[in-house]
Amino acid sequence: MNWSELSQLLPVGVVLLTALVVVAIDLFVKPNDRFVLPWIGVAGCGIALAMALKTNTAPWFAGSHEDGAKALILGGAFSIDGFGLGIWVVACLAGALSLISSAHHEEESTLSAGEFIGLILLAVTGMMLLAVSHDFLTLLISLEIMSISTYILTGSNRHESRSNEAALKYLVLGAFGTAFLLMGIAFFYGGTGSLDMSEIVSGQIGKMGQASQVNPTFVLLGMGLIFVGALFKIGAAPFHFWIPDVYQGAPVSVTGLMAVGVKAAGFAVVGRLFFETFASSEFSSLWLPAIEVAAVATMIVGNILAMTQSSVKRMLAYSGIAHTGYLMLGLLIAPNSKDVAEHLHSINFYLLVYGVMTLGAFGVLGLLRANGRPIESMDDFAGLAKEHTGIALCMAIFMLSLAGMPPLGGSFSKFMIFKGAIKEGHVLAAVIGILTSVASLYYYLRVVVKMFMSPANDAVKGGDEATQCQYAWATNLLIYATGIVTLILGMMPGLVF
Amino acid sequence: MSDLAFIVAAVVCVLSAGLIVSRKNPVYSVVFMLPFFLGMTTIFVLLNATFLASIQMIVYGGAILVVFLFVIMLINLRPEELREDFSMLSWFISALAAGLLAATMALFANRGTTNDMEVKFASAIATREHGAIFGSIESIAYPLFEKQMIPFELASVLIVVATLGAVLLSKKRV
Repeated sequence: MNWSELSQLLPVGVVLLTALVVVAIDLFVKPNDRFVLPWIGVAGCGIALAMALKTNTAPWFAGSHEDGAKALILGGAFSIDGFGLGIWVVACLAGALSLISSAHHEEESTLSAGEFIGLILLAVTGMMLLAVSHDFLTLLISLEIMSISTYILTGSNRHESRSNEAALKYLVLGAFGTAFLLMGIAFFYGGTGSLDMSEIVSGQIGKMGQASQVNPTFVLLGMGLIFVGALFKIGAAPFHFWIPDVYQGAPVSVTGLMAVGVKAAGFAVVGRLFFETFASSEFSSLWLPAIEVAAVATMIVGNILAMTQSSVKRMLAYSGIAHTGYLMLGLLIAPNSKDVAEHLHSINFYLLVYGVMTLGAFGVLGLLRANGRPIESMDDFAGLAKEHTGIALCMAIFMLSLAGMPPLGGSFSKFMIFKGAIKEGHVLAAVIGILTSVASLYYYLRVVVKMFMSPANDAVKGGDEATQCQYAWATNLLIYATGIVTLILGMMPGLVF
Repeated sequence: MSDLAFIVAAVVCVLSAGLIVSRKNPVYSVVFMLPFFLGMTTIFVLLNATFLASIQMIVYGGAILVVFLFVIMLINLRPEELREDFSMLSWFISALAAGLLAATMALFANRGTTNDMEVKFASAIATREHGAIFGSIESIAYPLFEKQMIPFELASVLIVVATLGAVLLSKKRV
């Protein structure tokens, strides 16, 4: 055990410690003072974010780089590298923003309880660990830390049947996905005798089959099962069925965390598996076509089903599936190519932009009330611009940015992904991506049209309640801030890209 | 000496197994599982499988037994309710299944291990890390506290998650 190595995990430690502190403080504060708890969590995420930004960035994936061994810490259990750090930033951001948007649910006491905030922070801990784990056992445990917290958070609205249903569905289907992953890991271990994720990168499996005790059949079988499990977790077609119900049933702040954080962590796993573990050309010739087919299917399924939705929350869930498809286009590159770093960089940037705009949109959904319930259906948005012009403007920014309209953040990130895919010769997939994102304008614009051009109906009047709510200023601030950041990221992407 | 211990343990096992299936009251059945587990533990110790023995005691004797007991007490079964569908046919089928199992085991009991296999097994044991014997507590402990210590420690975070979740999902509104 080496302290200087362990200290590189300090951002994760900060989030974990904050979670425990919040739970402990919850026992002593009076119910009226509970409002401090989310803010402690936000502070923890903020500190972790700052620390993650300050950490020296190693090459994008340690195993695929010559001086990558430096990034490996604690006997190869973790690899602190560029992609992982990028995911840390996204996860901390998702955690902080969903804590802010949960802060004004003061009146619903289960939501502001210390356990709820503690579980959000623990889910963020799991995401951060997942992003850097470099050992299948660490990966599995981190995945479970993240998944089990989100299962519980999904069902935290105990008195609503939809939330319960979503939690049960998520638990069963999530366990199903984990089972695939675990079976794959078992085959991988059986085939190679090692749990290290960069174990077989060094040699070609055909050669290794003769030279050592590696069993190629088991490794390939393991790769297939791990592939299925990973697609399950990021919600790619044909394993996307759980997403709409779960996103709709979960409390809004949790949905934001799931849509952004869980997806980012899932992509970290997928990236590390494909660009580090199964990086040799024998594997990549198998998984590249599979990813391409899955990406195209995901984009088509997500966008088409999103068009038919009347609930905005459900529409955002399907649009999240579509965005998973776009992100998967970024994975379409041979791992030994020199452009890998650029591709991973654009995936990371995409996740960041997607995170900002999606969390903003879910912030709007969480803030406004219609008929005493959180705003949800398209009709609830009718005439919103008249009463809450600023919020409607921000929502329009989020929607157009999600569709990829310039000059907003979503356009530049999409451009980078499509450019990369075309450069690698996956023209058809990129064209389908562009066409589906044009088609996606239909359902994103529907919300904008409703807000600005439909007459207000009585339902939205209830919106006043929420804006007058005690801590709604925080969510308001969040919405405006994410709106402005979405604009800035589109006009000056060079700031972070 | 070890032969005597084996005979005692085996007799305890068989007797308590018989008592488990023949009691009217399911609570008695569960209680008779305890001597059964104790007997099994003794047999595992005699086979030098110390880790399996301790797990048998902790997991089965500790956790699973209590869970069984809880379930039976929760559903509050009365013996007379249970007796009715416990017909002669089911006695017959269980006896047949048990007889078949015993016959199969008797057939294969002496075929399983040859001298050659035992030699191979012994050499495999000898080459283990840290000289720990296969199946012993040491051979489990070294990977757990050295090589895979990080995931092992992270499992504690997982338990915190489970605890918080249980509180969140079952707490009364305050």
